[in-house]
Amino acid sequence: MRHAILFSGMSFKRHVNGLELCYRTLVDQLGYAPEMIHVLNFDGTLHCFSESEDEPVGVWPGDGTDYRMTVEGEGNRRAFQRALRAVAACLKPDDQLFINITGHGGHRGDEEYGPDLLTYPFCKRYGRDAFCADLALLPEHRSLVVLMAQCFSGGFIPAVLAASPARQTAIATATSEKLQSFMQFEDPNWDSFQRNWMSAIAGRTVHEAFEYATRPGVASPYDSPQFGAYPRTAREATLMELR
Amino acid sequence: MSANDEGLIWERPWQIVRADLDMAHVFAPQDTISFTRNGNGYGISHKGAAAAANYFRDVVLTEVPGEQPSFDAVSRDYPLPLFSKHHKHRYRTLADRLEVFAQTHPSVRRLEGTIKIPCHGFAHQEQESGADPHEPQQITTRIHVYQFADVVQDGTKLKRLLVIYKPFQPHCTNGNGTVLGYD
Repeated sequence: MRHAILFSGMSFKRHVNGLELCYRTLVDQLGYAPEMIHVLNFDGTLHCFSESEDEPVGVWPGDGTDYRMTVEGEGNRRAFQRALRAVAACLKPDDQLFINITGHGGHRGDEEYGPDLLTYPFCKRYGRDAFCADLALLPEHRSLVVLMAQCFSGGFIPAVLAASPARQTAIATATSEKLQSFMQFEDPNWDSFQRNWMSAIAGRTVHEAFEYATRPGVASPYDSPQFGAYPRTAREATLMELR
Repeated sequence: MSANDEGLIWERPWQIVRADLDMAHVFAPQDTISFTRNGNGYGISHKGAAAAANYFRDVVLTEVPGEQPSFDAVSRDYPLPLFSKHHKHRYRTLADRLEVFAQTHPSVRRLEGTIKIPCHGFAHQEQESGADPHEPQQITTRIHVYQFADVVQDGTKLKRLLVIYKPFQPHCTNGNGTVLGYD
């Protein structure tokens, strides 16, 4: 079985759009069961941080239709832990978990602490080590694939690989530990790296999707994408159903 | 208890002691900045190793009137020692609390304005990151500047704490962040 957690804390509109792109790719192109996808965003709804609390959700700019994903929790540590527990309760040794983190990341500048996720409400910091401690509580499973699009996300790579209880773990990030990630300047409805990776993953391995997302002319020159896998063969993982 | 009732004094040297990573190449730890009257607002003067002076050349911060709460509204963990590696955890925790304070107290007296922060300050940052070579992207960044009296202990003297806060704003490229210093 395949499970997924899609997470964004203090979302802007483009991050909600990215979650929906991820959801639709998983369901429509990769055949995920919608009930196996846990979506956590901002205040537990499709809303995002904006000037006005009354700003309508609107339609998804991908095709002008309504958002289809159902948000089941807020974008914060408590909700993420709850989603992990729900996954853990039915995670089998041959299963795969895909986690897509988007939204904002911060970094206090201390290497021993590493980067943080900025979560709901008030940009509360969900630190790298706390995130990995939560991840480590999962039972052993076949494959963990993590896609991170937030600023400073590369600082999660060694810690996620070390903490993962999966037999194969791969992680792709939009940036190095010390730089920020960027929206698509030609279309601010999207985060550049996340959109490119998600657009490529159907029918490709996670590393092939990374290579596509980092090609000149596709990648934002301001991003600094990173990739890690353990063992090395984990780069050949796909999000497709095992036959 | 921090009274914070002596009025705000901006025109003095402020030593930066810590900064979040995406602001650190503009407000570098160990640098000194000061605020100088400029018409109806304040400019930022910069003395330090970073090539940040150019980023502040045309900046005008305006004074935003409002309440002036004591530091107790932020934290009871003070006076703080002077910043050092032994105390960085306390300053990190303070930064966490200040961010919540700034978001829940929008009417605190402060300076406010817009600066541009480049996505990277030095060529080696770009090279180490693996990013394609590029001119630094200038990120338009709103900042709020607060000060609190009697927060940092230096011998028998109590120093004022300076807080430069990058508020979370829709349509901005980046998230929030904090810079701390004292006089």
